[in-house]
Amino acid sequence: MTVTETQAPPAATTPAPALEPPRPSTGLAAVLGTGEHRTIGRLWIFTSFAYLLVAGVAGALVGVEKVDTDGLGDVLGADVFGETLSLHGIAGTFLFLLPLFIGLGIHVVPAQVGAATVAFPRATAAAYWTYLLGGAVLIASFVADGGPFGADSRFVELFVASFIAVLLALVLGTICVATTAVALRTTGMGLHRTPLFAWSSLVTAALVVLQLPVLAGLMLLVYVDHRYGPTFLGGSGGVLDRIAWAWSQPSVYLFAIPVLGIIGDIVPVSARTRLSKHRIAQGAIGAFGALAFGAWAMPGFGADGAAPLLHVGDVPFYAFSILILLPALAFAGLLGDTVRRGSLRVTSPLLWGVASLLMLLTGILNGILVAIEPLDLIQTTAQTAQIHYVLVASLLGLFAGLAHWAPRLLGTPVQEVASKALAALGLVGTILLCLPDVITGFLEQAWRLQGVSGDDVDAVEVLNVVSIVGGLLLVLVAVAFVGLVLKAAVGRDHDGDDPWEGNTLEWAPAGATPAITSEAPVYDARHGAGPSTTEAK
Amino acid sequence: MITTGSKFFYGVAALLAFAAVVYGYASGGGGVGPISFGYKGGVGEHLGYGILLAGAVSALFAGFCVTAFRDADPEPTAALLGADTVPAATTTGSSFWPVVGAFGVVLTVVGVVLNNVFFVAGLIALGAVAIEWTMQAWADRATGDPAVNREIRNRIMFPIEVPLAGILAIAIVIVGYSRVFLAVSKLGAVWIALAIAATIFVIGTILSLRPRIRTDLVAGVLAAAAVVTIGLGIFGAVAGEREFHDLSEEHAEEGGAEAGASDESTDEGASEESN
Amino acid sequence: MATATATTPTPERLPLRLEDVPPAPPRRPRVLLVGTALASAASIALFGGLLSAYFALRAEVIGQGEQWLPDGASIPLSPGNMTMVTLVMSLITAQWAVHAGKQQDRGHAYFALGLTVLLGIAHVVQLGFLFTQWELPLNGEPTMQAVLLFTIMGLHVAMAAAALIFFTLMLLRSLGGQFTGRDVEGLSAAALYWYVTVGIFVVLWYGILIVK
Repeated sequence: MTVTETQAPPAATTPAPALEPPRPSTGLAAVLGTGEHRTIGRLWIFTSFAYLLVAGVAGALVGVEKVDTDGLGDVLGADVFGETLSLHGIAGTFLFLLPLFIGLGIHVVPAQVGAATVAFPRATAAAYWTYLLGGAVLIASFVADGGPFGADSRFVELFVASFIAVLLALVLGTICVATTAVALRTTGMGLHRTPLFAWSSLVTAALVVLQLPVLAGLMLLVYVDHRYGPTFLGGSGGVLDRIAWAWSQPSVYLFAIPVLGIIGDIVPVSARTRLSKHRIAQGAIGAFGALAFGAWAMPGFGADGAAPLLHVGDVPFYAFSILILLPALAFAGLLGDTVRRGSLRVTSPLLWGVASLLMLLTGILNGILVAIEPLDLIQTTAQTAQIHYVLVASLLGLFAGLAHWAPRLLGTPVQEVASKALAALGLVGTILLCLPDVITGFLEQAWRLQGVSGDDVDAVEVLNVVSIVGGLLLVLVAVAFVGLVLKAAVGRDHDGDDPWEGNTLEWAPAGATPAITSEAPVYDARHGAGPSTTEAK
Repeated sequence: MITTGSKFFYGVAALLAFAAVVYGYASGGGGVGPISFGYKGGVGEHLGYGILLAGAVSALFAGFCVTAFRDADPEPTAALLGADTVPAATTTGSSFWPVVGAFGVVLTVVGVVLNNVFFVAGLIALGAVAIEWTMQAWADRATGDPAVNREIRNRIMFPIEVPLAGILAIAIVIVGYSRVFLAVSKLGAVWIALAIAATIFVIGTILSLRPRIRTDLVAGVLAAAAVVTIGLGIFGAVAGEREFHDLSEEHAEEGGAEAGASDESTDEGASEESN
Repeated sequence: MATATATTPTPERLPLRLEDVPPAPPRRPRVLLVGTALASAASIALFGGLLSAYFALRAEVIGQGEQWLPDGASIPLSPGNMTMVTLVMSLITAQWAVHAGKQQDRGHAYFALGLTVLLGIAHVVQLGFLFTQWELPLNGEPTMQAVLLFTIMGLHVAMAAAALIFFTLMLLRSLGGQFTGRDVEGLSAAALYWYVTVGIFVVLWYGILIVK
C-alpha cells in the first residue's frame, strides 16, 4: 500500500485548527522584550539603585574636598571638583530620585487604580531603555572629561545630548504613570477617590511635564551654542548653572511630591484606620505641587556667560518659599489627626515616612531662611543644606514606599527590624549631613570652591567633617537598605501576603476586588462599608 | 463641568498666571505690561515672566483637555462605548521594538556629536521602529486571538523583513570583514578569511548533524556572530587601512621614466611578508 | 494497489479564516488622548521656556541700545506668512479627517489625512527655505541670534516632523481597518498634537518672524 502524503486545504465547512499561541520568552529575551508593568517597574527601581551608587561616591568625593578649607581644590582640582559636583547632583536627582519614583509608580499605580497594566506599556519600556542607555552614555561622557567644567568639548556636547535623552525618557515615563492614574481607573474610582500615591503621581507628572521640558530646551540651546555658537552661555563652565536650578528652591520640592502620597498611604494603614479628609489631603498635595514650579527662578543670561540670579528678593520668590510650608503643614496635620483617631502600630515604612516628613518640613523651614535676602544665605552651604534636606527626605520617603509595597513589589517584605534601625540611622545621618551646613552657611561658607576667611575657619572645618560623617552614614544606610531590598527580591517566599492590612486596592486579595465606594475600598470590605469621606464629588 | 483633575490644573494655571503678573511688576514691569503680555508697557524681567506664563498656558491646556475628557472617569468613558463598565486594560505581549528604539535614540545622540554614520544609523533604526511598532500595535488588535494576530502580522511583514534582514546581514558581513581585511596584512587577511570559513564550516556541520535543534540556540549563535563581526569591523575601522601604494601613480611613473619598479610589491604588508 | 491520502495540517501556514476568530475586545477610550494631552502640554512648556530665553536675550540686546538682528541679517516676511497660511489650512484638513473617520467615510478620511500630511511636509520645506533666506549663518562666525533662531525654529521643524509621523502612522492603522466609526481615538490624538504644533507656530510666527 502506498501512502501519499499531501497537504490539502482545509474544507470550507470545518473550522480552521487553532494556531499555536505565542510562546512566552524566557531569560534575557524576556527582559529585553518585556511589556509587563511589574517587570518594567522593577527594572526602573534596580537601575536607579545603580545610579544612586554613582551619586553617593561623587558626593563623598565632594565632601572630602571640603575638609580642608585652606586647600580647596587640592584633592580633585577645581575642574574635576566641578565635574564631580555636577555628577553628584545630576545622578542623585535625574538618574536616581525621579527614576525610582517612576519605577514605583509603574509598579504600584496600576494596582492602586484597579488596572491590569500601565498605560502604554511599550512606551514605558522604551522610556526605561532610553534612561538606562542614556544614563550610561552620560556617565561615560563625565569619565571622558566631558560634562559641566569638562575640558574635552566633544564629550561636553555628548553629555548635554545624552542628558536631553534622559530628560525625554523621564518625561515619557511620568506621562505613562500619570495616564494610568487618570485614564485606567476601574469602575467606581473617581479621581477624588484615587489613593494618595496615585494622586501624587499625577501631580508629580504635571510638574515634570511643566518643568523638565524647559530644562531640556535650555540644554538644547546650550548644545547648539557650545557646538556652533559664540558660547554666550558660558561654555562648559556655564552648564551647571543652567541645570542646578532644577534642584534648587523652589524646583527642588518637585522631588518630594510623591513622598507626600507615599506617606499619606502608609500612615492610615499603620494607624489601622482611614485617612482624615482625603480630599483635603489631595488638595494639599496639589497645592504643594503647584508651588514646586520653579523653572522661572533659573539664573538669567549675563555678559560673558554669567548666570545672574534675577529673582532673589522678589515677591514671588518669597511667596513660593514661604507658602509651600502651608500645604506641607496641613498635610502633616491630617496625618497627625489620622494617627490620633486610629490605633498606631510602629512599622518600618512608618518610621521611614516619619523621618522623611520631618526632614522635609525642616528643609522647607531652611528654605524660608535662605529666601530671606538680608540673611545673605543664597549660594552658601545653608542653601546646600536645604537642597540636601529636601532631596534626602525624598530618598527616605521613597524608601518608605519600597518598604511598604515590598510584599507586592518583591513578593516578600523587607526585614522589619533591620529596616526600622536603618530608618532611624537615616534620620540621624540626614541631620548630621545638613545641620552643620546650615551653620557654616551662616558663617559664610560658599557652596562651591571658595575658602572661609576670619576666625571661623576651624569651626567650619570641624562642621564640614561632621557633615561628611553624616553623608557617609547616609550612603551606608542607603547601601544597606538596597541590600535588604535585593535580599527580599531574591528570597521571595510568600507571594501575595498583606502584612500591613492595607486600605487601598493594591492590597485586595487576588480575584476579590471589592466595590469601590470610598478611597479605602479594602478597608471598607474588611470592616464593613463605613461612611465614605468622599461621597460628594 | 469642572472635574477633580481639571480643578488641579486650573489651580496651577491660576497660580502661575498670578505669579507671572506679580513677578512682572516686582521686576520692573510698567503700565499694564504684565497683564497685557507686554502689549502696553514692559513686562519686567522677561525670562521668569515668560516661563511662569508658559507654565500657566501649559497647565490651562491640560485643564481644558481633562475637562473635555471628563477626567477619563470610568462611568462617562463606559457611556462612550454604550456599555455599563469600561473594558479592562489588556496586557501587552513581548516586543523588542522598545529596546531597539531606545538604542536608536542613543545611537542618534552619540552620532550627532561624534560620528555622522552613527547618526544616520540611529535615524534608520528609529524609522524602522516607528513602522514596526505601528504594525505590531495594529496587528495586536486585528482579532481577539493573539496567535492569529501574530500570523497576520508575520504574513504582512515577513516579505518585507526577511529580504531587508538579509541585506542588512550581508552588509554587516561585507562592511565588517572588509574593514578587517583592509587593516591587516595581505597574508593575514588570507589567514583570517580561512579561519572564518573554517569556523562557519564547523558550526554549520555541528548544527546539521543534530536532528533537532532549538531555535534560540541558532539565534544565539547568529547573534554572537553578528556581534563579533560588528566588533571586528569597528576594530578594523579604528585601526585604519594598511598603507597602499597608488597604482595609477606607479604606472604613470613606469610609463614616464621607464623605471624598473614593476617587481616591487604594491603592498607594504606583502613586501614585509616576502622579506 | 491501493492509494491512501493523509492530510497533515501545518498550523503556522494555514489560510486564515477571520470569520472563525473572535473580534478584538473593545479598547478603553481616552487613554491615548490623555497621554497625548500631557505630551502636548510638555511641548508647550518646552517652547515656552525657549521663547522666554529668546525674549530675555533680545530685551538685553535692545536694552543696550543695539539692534536685535545683526547687520546684514533679515527675516523676510513672505516665507513665514506662507507657511503660516499652510498650517492654518492643515487645521481644517486635520479636523476633516477626524470628522470623516467618525462618519465611517473612509475615502474622505484617507484623503483628508493625506492632505494634512502633504501640507505638513510643505510647512517643513517652507521653513527650510526660510532658513536659507535670513542671512544668519550657523557656521563661520555664528551669532547669539543665529543660535537662538536655528534652535527654536529647528526644534519646531522637528516637532512638526514628529506630528507628521504620528499622523502617518495613524493613517496606516486607519488603512488597516482601525480608527473608524466610534473608535477614532488615534486620529483624534494625532489631530490634537497637530493643533498644538500649529498653535505653537502661531506664537513663533508672531513673536519671532513678525515682531523680529
